[in-house]
Amino acid sequence: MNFNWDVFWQYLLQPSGVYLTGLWLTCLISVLAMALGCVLGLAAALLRLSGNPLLHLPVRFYVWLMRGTPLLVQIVFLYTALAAGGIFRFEDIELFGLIVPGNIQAAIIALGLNEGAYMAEIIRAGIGAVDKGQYEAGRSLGMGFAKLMRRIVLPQAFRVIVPPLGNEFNVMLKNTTLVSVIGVQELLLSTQMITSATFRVFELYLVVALYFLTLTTLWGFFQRWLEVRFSQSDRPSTPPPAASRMFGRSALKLLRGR
Amino acid sequence: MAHQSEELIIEALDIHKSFGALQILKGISLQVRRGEVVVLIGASGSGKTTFIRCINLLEDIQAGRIRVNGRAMGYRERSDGSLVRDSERNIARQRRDIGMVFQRFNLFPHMTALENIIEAPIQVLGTPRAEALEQARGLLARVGLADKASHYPSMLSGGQQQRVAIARALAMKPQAMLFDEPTSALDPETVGEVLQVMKELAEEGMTMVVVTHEMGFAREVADRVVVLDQGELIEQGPPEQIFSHPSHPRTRAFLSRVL
Repeated sequence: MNFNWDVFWQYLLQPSGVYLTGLWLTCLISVLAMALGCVLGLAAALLRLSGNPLLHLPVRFYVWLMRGTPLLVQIVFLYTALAAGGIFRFEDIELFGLIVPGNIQAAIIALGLNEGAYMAEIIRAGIGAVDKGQYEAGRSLGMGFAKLMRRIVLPQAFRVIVPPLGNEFNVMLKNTTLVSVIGVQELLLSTQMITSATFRVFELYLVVALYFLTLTTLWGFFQRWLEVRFSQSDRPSTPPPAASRMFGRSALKLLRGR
Repeated sequence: MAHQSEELIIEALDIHKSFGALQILKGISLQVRRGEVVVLIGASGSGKTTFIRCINLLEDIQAGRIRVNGRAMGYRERSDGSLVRDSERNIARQRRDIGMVFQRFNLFPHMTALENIIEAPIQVLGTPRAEALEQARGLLARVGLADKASHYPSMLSGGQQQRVAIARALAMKPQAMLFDEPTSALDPETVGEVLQVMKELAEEGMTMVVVTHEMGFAREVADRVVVLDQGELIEQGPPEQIFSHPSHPRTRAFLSRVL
């Protein structure tokens, strides 16, 4: 077997600057794309509650389109195909004295758009799990739609949303590797660059896999802490409501679908 | 009770309501004066619950007029006489005048008893927090739960939850209170504490419309008992008249089943 332990340990424990930049970019892109996905998902979920077809049909189209095409195709389409078609080109922009390259912008937007479609379904299911009586109580106290959502429904829906949200972020961390195809130097592309210089392919890909495993494991701990925290505020002595247990299963089905 | 005036708080005129082809309310009219306690009785499916839900527009109506405190509730009339629903914002504003207590309490599970009570005054009326807290503590004391302020609903018994729900509705300083079978979901031993709170409220002069199966409460507290049957108001009058000398044969049939 062609395996050099020294190379392996060196890259695992003393990663070069290229590697650390890749790690940092992976985290940054994940967090920003997830934030964008949550905002889009919430907006889409609220629009889908509307009885007006002008509001909910575009949302259904968006969800259908994003879930029906491969993420990799969406990324390439947004960055490369739109530019090639002369429709839109992502230019480098300066933000707070920092140059943000066009491909990183495209990466965040593509991942965020895709995530938004999945989050829309998750948030919609979370809202659906809130008892109808809660709406009636809020309305009978004179609350309008916005207050009812913000103060009564969403805080309760959030408890149902947190577990699948955590899974989504786990998937997002790993999906960032896809943006390597548009030249974003996240962990995978950084690794590829180093392997093309050192030819230590086996060792380096093993290292990158371990890096991702570490990231997702750390996130897993955080996720568990989040879930405990958000289930604390009420029903300390009873198991989670049936709706959330059921929803956990449907969220899993949703994840397997991709 | 003693506090009635001639001023009408709730006027419902010829209310029609159907779910699809099923007619639930076939033209019910009811007027409630300030300080009056009206108890609606009738068999399940007679439309009592639907009727009081229509009063604060939790249900759409197909025809009829509702006025609360002299103001039309929720609907504007088109020139051809048909009804269009008012804007959500106007409806939300009008609902502040009417408190509602639900069969299943519907307390907000993510808030403590105290937070449940201050939520609407702060968010809807814009009451300063300190003032809302003081008022809420007073209301909790009034329903006998001063020591449960920081308890979440799941830590309270059904009777205690319902008393918090009554306090929550009272915090909006409503002109009238609607009770939709407030004791039907309770364990028998906690029914009394809720009825006691309601009775005290009636004695203080609150205008109340109560749907209940508690005939003892109706007999003791009601100023007027209204009997609904199959979506129609078949008989109304003081409790002693309804319970001792019911004039309508269907009232007699109903009372013979429940008493």
